[in-house]
Amino acid sequence: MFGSVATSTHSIDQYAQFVGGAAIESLRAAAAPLEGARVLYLSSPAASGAVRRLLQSSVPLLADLGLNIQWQQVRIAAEYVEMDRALRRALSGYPGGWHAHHENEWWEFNQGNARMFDEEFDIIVVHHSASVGLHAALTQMHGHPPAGAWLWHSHRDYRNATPNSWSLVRQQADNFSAAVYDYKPFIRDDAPTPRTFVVAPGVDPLSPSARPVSDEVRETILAQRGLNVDLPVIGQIVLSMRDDDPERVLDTFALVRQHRPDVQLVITNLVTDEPALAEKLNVLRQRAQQLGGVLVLSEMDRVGNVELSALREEATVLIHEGYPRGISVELLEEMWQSRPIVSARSSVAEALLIEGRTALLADSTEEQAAAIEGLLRSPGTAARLGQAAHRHVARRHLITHYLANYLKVFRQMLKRRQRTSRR
Amino acid sequence: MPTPVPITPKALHEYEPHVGGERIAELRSLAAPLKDARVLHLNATAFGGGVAEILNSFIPLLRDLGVDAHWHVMEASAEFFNVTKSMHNAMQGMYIPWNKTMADLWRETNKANADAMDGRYDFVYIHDPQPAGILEFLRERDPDMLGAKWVWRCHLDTTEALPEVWGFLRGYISGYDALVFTLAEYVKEPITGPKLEIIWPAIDPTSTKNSEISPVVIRDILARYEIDPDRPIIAQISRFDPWKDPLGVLDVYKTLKEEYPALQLLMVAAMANDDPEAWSFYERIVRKAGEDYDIHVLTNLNGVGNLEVNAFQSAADVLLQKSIREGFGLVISEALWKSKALVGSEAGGIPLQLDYGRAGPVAGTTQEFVDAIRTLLEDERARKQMGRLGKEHVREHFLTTRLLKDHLRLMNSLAGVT
Repeated sequence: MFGSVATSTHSIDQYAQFVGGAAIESLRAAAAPLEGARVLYLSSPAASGAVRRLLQSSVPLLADLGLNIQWQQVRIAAEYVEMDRALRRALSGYPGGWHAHHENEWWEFNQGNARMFDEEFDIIVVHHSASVGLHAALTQMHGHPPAGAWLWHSHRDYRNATPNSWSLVRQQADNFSAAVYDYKPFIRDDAPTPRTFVVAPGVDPLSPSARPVSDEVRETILAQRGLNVDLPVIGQIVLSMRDDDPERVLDTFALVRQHRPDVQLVITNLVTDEPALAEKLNVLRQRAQQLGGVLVLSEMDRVGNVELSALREEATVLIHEGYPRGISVELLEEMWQSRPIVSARSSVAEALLIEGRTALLADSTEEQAAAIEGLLRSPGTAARLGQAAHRHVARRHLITHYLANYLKVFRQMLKRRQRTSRR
Repeated sequence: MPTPVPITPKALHEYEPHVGGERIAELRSLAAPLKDARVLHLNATAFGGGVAEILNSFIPLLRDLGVDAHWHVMEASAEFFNVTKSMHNAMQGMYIPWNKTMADLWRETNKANADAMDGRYDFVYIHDPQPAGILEFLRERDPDMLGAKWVWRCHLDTTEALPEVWGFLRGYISGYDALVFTLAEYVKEPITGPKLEIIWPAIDPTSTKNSEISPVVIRDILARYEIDPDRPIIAQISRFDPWKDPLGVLDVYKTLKEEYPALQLLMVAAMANDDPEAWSFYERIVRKAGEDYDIHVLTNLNGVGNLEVNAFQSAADVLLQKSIREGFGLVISEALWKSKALVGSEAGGIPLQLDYGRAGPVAGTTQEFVDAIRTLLEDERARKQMGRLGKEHVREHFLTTRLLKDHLRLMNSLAGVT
């Protein structure tokens, strides 16, 4: 077996306070036919924070609903770290990084993990793109396909993947029983396998990052970070240095400041794990210092769940200039926290936001600045937008909805297997 | 080429409430002769580990004192960092099969970084073994760079260093103007030529991790992580690697748990998601913890940030540091600064920070850890007294301001300022 991962210890009944007792009962009914089903969630140590957060919340709840579920992680030995990173980047559309030698390493990596796969499951959900070769490696090792229904859960937008990386993943995913996507727009026209499902991520309202923040906690954090509690704050909480253009956030902020010099900006969660990104961050910081009123926090500042949550709650308006090219639980958490959001158009934004009702969508920096200024001028409109966003998440995007959708997928997969085995 | 690390400004006057005005004035006076001096600090990483954390506050404070300080990280491949990780382990006594391929990759990477270096500096600090060869390769290329005073800052305990790795590195460090070690006993053998300095590292009392937070904030944070503030808590805040003995910590907890069924254990680590060794230990910890949900295994990858670490340290009844080997173990000073009782091993800088037992018990075997923690769990007065002594010991010796003083003195001395 692979290594296990620690999860939360919540029980499904604790969620009745958010969705009502009837919804919990309906989840129990949906899970009843799956009682004792052996399910494996397989992810990688390099999984994104959003994937990790989702599995951390959902695994104990699925167990509480009676599934015999495990969350394990494949091993990525030191010699395969670079290959894994190269595949992720190539699948996200960055050219030039996926070479023939990577493909050999990728196959060796899957063969190595196949040797550790020594248990039998009814359903195996692979949440890691490089491990999409595990099925083929097991087939080669045993001379027949491995038991169970195999699902590939694709958490990223692969529509811009480089042809060689996509061709590899596509071909492998064809061996699977089904593919699961976070959002419908992520499904390519040439998507693998005959069956596809969409299971959007959900907010866990009991997770450390989504619980309400008390005044004292918020004040402590704002004081530590030097933010003025009496002035409005624009927050850009989720931004990828790699995928997005944080400089554009500063452009928007500079425009807002022309009319509202009292506004502050917080940009956080910037990852600088490559020298080029550190250089970009350096430029960003220098410009932020020139503009004034900007707090830039990168991974070096070790901003954790509580601080993120407090910064979001403090924000008068949250801006989304761009999105990482994949799953976003953070956006849903912001909506759950009733924040007014101004977002650029993207596949994720279009999948999760309702234009004009749960968020304002604006592309150019001028449009974004105008939208932000409008919300700053009209606190009532901002509050209504935030409340609508909260209601939307409460109705459609809580972890309980995610569980209900996954249970549906599991039931269909098991039914299909039973039909196949009867034949 | 070496990449500049962004620096967030900091002001020295923020430290006055912690150390008093006299010490701040002393720093300003020591810095006066170094006004506008160009200083470069070069290390392997801007993220993770004690060195990056120290530089994060040290560099902006040097700037606030008028020194033109810069921080760069070297550029290198993942393979290079695999080699230097082995090298790091070997420098701390672990056997590794050191070979020519490893040595060649280390040399090539150091040469490439040396070739790409530009700018003129008055002082260059090189941290740890990873970039230690840069000076040697610059010697050939750019004699002007050699006009700077070069300091090699070794953060490791080299006492038991593997002779072949130490011998290899020794040739590269003997050309420096000064070698700075953390403790005198960390120097494997005398090195003639460079000036030898001993400078202890320090913590930043103004950082999110070390600022005082209220009991309300602490309880709020614990509740988010399903930790019960009303039951006893012991904690080790340390990377998941063999040197920190995380499995030994579980043994200590499991023994105590028989006597204190309500006891909770927090094991908190910062880890890189692409560090296979750390993950291997993580998995072993999770396996050994089994279904005991009073063991909380928490990492930055679940969103544990500096504020959470602060809250966990502040909430613990007793902290422990069961390291087998330790560079210095600044986490000890972090805990003591929060007036906490801590039981530490004899490794590295732990006994020094515990004032050799006066600010916290020093233990060896698992049983000694169990006994010391039991005594502290039983005696709240002793815990408080230890905490008070520990905080004052840290204020005196292990805050950033003392670190600044030592380095300003060293630079003045290298520049011939008396």
